Amino acid sequence: MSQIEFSVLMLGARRTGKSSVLASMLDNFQRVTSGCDVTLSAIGETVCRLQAKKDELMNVFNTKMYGDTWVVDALLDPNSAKIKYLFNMNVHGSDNEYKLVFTDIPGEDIASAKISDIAQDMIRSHVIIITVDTPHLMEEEGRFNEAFNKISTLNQLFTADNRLFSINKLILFVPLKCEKYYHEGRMKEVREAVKKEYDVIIKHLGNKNISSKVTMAITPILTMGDVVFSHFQKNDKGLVNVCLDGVEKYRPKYVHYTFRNKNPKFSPHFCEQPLIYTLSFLRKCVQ
Amino acid sequence: MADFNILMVGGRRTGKTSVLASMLDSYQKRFAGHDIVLSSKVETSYILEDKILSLKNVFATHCFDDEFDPDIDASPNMGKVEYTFYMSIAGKSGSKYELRFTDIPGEWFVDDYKEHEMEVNQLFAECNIMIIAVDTPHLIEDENVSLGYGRFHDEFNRPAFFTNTIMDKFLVDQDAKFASDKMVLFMPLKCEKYMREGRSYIIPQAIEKGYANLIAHLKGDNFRGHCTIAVLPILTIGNFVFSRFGENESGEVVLHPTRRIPLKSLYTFPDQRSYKNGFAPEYCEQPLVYILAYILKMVRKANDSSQNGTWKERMKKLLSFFGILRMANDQQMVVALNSISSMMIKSKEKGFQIIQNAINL
Repeated sequence: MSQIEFSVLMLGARRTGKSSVLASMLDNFQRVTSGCDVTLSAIGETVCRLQAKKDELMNVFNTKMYGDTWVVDALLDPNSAKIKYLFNMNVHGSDNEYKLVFTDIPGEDIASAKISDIAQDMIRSHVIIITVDTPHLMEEEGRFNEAFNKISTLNQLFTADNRLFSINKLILFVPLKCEKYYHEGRMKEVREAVKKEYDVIIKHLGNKNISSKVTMAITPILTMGDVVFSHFQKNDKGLVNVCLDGVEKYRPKYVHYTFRNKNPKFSPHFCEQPLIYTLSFLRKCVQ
Repeated sequence: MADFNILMVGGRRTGKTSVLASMLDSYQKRFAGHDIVLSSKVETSYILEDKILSLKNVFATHCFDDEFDPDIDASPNMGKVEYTFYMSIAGKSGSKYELRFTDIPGEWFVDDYKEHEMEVNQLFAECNIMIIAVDTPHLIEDENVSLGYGRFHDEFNRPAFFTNTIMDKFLVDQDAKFASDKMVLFMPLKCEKYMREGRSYIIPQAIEKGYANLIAHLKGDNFRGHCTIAVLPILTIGNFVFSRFGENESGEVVLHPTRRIPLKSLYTFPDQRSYKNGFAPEYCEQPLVYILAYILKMVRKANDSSQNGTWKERMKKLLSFFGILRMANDQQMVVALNSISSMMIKSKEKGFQIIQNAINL
């Protein structure tokens, strides 16, 4: 019996909600795959960390009322250190032990000198999950997408080092907080916006020298279910209030969310899909 | 030492770093998926991203009918700044070349020359290409008819930086004492107004007059066959045009308290549709396309000279142009460079002009 370890890197900007979505991902996965041949179980501190994140999300439903709007970002403290989440993966009938290590990169590292560590992590990872803040991608004609989702820096991370393709990789674009667009029937628009905004990376990974080593997919997520984007706060001239300095420079200062119905529930959707894609890819890798 | 060295010069606050960021961004978008990949060193990528965001922010923080001085270079570099771009073949290890862009303040050539002489000489000796960033509204507006260019150009863009002595250092291999093949790219920035008005043709005309001494020197007998000169106008932001220099109540341009340049350069959005379309730079990839075309020509020249030259000359070139010689053996890179070179814009209607074509671009 041997132990095989796989690395999954969560890559996304500050306050995208990477850790929160990981909590939702595991929660959904266990519900959807109960009775299946593959089970995932968190190990050690990971259990507490994910529970704390889930509690943080659930708390929104206990403290807010229908009709309120609120600034979600103020409720969620971003991680300031790299965090590893460890899982055991058991495959029915297999003698091998599989370990999954999710590495959650603090968003601000993307905009700092620590970015070279991220580049090294990317080389080692089997799966890279690019989290996309969907309201910034879609609202105001995507004017704040670059400032939030750091597309240009991601372009350099994916193109600067060909060692990235020394092992086969799965690259998942995961648009988060898609509730508004899902209920408005606009998910096709979300998909097209991802393809347009991440065009440099997608075309680069599609180059004939690279495409055989990379699998790419877009798997959107409804992070909380009944919480929807409301608006970016504007000033009296009708312009979005923008941060003019600090680590969130050029981003909208206040992003408001609201409940979409009178009996809101924590009801994430499709959160299991990135995990299902990941496990399917890893199964192909070990075959 | 980098494989290829590019010097960026120009007047204070012309926005050199911003346009360098825009050049890379535009190249990556224009040639996404191409075999030749250009990318910035990841350690400095967030600095370049911040420059792009400062250009985009013009639209986010103003209404469509605002007229304002964007001051997009609010924190100009006071010293030398280096940015490294990598050129590689997508997915291929080992085929990686370094392009070093050095942004130096023009003052190093004149006011502070003695203090920086050694460093400037070294940079010039290593440099293959010089990019001269030009603030186009200062070059063209408020024309001094007898000169054929704007009355604030000399003070703002400071063409007097480029004395014959300085340029000889750039054009002559200091060790070998022979003229080496170089390229000078004039890069007029913020050309939106003239492009929209269908007057792009006036840009190269004004460059030839505004930099007449420099161009005459580069066209001289010693350098004519060794220095390629081109004008590559750029729409730095797109959908955002120069309006006027700030004036007082009498309609006179208000000047800077210590320099004889306008205190404010006011810009506006041409119409609501342009404002809505937002950040849309054009031709920003062209300086990089010209640089790649130059590299290809030099690689071919190196291949030829390695067959014709004496052993001593070949060694000298090997040491001087290590990147070029290394690339000469990289057939895949040469083929890919060829396809990029074919994308050079040379249209005079768009204000592009090759003034001197020593390497037959």
